[in-house]
Amino acid sequence: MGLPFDKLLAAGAAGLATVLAGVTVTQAVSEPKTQAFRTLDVQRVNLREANGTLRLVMAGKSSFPGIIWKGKDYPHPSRNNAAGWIFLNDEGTENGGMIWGAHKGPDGKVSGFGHLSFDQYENDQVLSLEQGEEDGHRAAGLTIMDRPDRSMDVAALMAAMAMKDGPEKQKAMASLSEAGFGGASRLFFGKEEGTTQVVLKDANSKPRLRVRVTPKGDSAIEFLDADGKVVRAMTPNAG
Amino acid sequence: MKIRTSRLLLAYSAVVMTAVAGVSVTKAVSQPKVTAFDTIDVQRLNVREADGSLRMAISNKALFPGLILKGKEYPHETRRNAAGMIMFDDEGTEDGGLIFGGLKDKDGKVSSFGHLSFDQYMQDQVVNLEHWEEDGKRAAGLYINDMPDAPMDMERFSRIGAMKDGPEKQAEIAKLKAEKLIGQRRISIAKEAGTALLVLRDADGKARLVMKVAPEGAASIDFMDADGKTVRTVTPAAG
Repeated sequence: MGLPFDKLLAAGAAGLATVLAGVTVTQAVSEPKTQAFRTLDVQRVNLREANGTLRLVMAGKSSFPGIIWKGKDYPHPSRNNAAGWIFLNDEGTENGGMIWGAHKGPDGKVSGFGHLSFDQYENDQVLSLEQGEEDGHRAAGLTIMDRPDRSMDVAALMAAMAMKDGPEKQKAMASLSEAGFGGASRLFFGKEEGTTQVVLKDANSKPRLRVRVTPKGDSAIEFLDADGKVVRAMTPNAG
Repeated sequence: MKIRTSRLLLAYSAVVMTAVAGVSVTKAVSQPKVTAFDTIDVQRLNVREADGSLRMAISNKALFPGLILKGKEYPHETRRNAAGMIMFDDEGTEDGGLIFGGLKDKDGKVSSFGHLSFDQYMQDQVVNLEHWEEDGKRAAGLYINDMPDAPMDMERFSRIGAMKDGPEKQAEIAKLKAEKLIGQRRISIAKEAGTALLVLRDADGKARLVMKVAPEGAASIDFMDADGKTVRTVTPAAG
């Protein structure tokens, strides 16, 4: 890309000169030290506690971490195309992030997303704010979720992921719901396939109260039963 | 995603070594290397992919980027007073941002904002979560928008942005609207002019369902038609 490297070189002459010519860090750990730069160019920033515990990673996709769990980095089953930030808790376990990416494929199809989420302790996201596009489908909104009370069993996920494709692997992946994976969507605010809506759901992810407006402008407030049937609808002229 | 465990361990031990024994960074930029600091002071931090493409810029307002599309930087007409972070997609195009600022001018007037947004591919924000205050007016909320399918025509936007306010500029903006080249707000949950609001709009951006509570407590659900006329109002007492 035509990035203004020349400008950056000029602007950050002091910083780059330092990086290119070598930095000698000789102070002891306990002594606070500060390095000043005008512009700093990096592939990854690790923010750590004084004892080394990682609290925040900022990186491009080429240096992006997997799932960091109690300080150990495991491969992430689906997050292979993101740049951004990963937040980690006091114990060095992932507890949220803000990630993004987008590109047009050789087939001309766009795939893109921006995503902020906060995770339950030793589990997956309970709040996410995001927009995404995949193969012509677009959605954006705020989602609140329930997660299992127990911690995710990362070792079980890794073992299932490492298996050869086949019925055994399918069985192992299906049984992950007993290993702390999964959960229920409880609330959505946003747009899906062009319809804007607020959906409140029960603990089984079933919509029970929905406020919606279609692209054409049809509006309704709907109460639904556990089978997804609308049992009462308030519209501009009825209910 | 590649397993990074060995690299992380390596990186971690490098950090420890750096801190304890000191390290000289003399390797070429392309070789992975870790440098440790207690505190870094920068005006701008660029995080890049290994190939040099920019994925995020964290900056003060003095060095804040303009609008970067496919690696080319354009002046951003309305974002001249922000510090924060800009996100870039896999192709070096702005993809979102987290920006903030606030000041009291010499007349005692406050202007302030905090803003997180995620953009559609080659387009503007689909999700924005923000607060702003200007000249005594305040608003805060979460907004979900539609954006045009066509990529943003930056040359045209820059040309119109640079025009003097007046009927000619208004005509150009009306033309953009008629050609559906401007996004539409679709759903918002917000506080505006002291009223708490949930507003759902159709694809033309017209409000069709509004739930609101006024500062003094008056509550209502309004259904509107495509002309903005309220056709049904549900209140505590009627509807």
